Amino acid sequence: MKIAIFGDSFGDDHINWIDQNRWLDVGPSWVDYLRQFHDIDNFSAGGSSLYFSKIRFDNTDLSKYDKIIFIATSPYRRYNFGSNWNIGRIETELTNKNLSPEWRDQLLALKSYFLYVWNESDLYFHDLMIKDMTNMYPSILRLRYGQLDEASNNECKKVYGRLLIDIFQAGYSDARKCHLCEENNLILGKQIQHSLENNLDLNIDVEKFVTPPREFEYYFRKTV
Amino acid sequence: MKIAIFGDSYASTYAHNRAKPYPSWSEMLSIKYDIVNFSENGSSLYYMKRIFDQEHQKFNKIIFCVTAPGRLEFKIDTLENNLNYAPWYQHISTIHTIKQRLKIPELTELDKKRYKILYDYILEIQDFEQEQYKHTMMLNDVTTQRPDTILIPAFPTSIYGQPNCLEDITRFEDSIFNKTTGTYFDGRLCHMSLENNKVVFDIIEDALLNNKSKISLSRDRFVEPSADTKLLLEDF
Repeated sequence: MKIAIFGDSFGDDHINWIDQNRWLDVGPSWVDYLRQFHDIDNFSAGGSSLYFSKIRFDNTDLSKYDKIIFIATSPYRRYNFGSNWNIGRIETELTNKNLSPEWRDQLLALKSYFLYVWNESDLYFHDLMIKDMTNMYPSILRLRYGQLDEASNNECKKVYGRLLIDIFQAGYSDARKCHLCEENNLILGKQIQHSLENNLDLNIDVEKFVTPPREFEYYFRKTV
Repeated sequence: MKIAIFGDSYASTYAHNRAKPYPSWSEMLSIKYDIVNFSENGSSLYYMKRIFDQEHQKFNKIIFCVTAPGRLEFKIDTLENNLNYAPWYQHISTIHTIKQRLKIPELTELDKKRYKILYDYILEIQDFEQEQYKHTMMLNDVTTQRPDTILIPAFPTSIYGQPNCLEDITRFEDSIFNKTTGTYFDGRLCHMSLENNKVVFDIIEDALLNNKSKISLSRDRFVEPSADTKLLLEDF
């Protein structure tokens, strides 16, 4: 089957990384699992907003694909200045002492947008984009961001007692492909493959996910 | 036939100082038909779309006067229950609206800070392409839910592929009176004279009676306003 994947870092496996040789010691993603059986074009981009993914979706010739997998990311992201932003990324960028005053002002305005301007209309547009996609492509398989985020954070909480955001703020990068350990990438890949083989709606069962067996330093690498 | 109207000041029944020198096109329709007009001055397409989502099923026909992309809704608690400003204080149609809001005496320092944040958002962050995209998606959803909707573009950017709009009438009348659009308090209902409200009424009634969802607002259909219409335009 020819499959297109759209979404954020939960779909952005190493194939799309700038440095494709980074963390080669960490095992395969769910996308790698599916690559054994299907011809995959992965349009996912880490940190991307739904608007970014949706524009990519709109500008792709979907007639080439037998199936589309879409991860609709968090509504708390925005595409601006040629890139995708959330409040965490803005705060990281603001720690840079070499910012021009103009760029700093723009970042502060963007931070203020998230804190004071973002409202239910942004959530409405988020849901409308998802509705638009499913109208255009009724057989789309949706991976729910909330489920994946919960599964990823469960891995962190159960074993290391921390949320992923706290791990990032402590200066670590997530070496897990698609924010899941190898074992859970395999489980997720198999669940998706089952849906594809049997032409079923996608219903991810995160209860089947396991506790990561390796130590913290294997999955999270110090960058700062 | 029960008809709903959604829109901004080009469809509402309010004018400057709440004076009504003549009926608007929507009021002319309400004399002949069972009309509920949800329109509000300065409202965004998002605001009207939310009401449309809740209400449209109760009506046999929908008239949707489509505003420009990029308008916002922004609530300020201090103004929410103040009858001098409700219900429209939350509609932010342009950056100039914020400048007007900042003059409101009842605002607290926190309110002013919030408006300034919104001002910076519009200036630095708001992206026209994204706004146009959201706008188009909302319109597509309206016509998907109700293919029989009569869409009326209020502005040139309201409906892609339909450059003739209601604002053309305003500008045409302003040119007759030697006025620059937007530099006056507009006492005209729906920003146009009685004569052109009648023309719009005729166009829409024809669409209702002949089951049309698209209308033509070509310039040759509109007429020169009477001279006393100029009295309704008060310079700032």
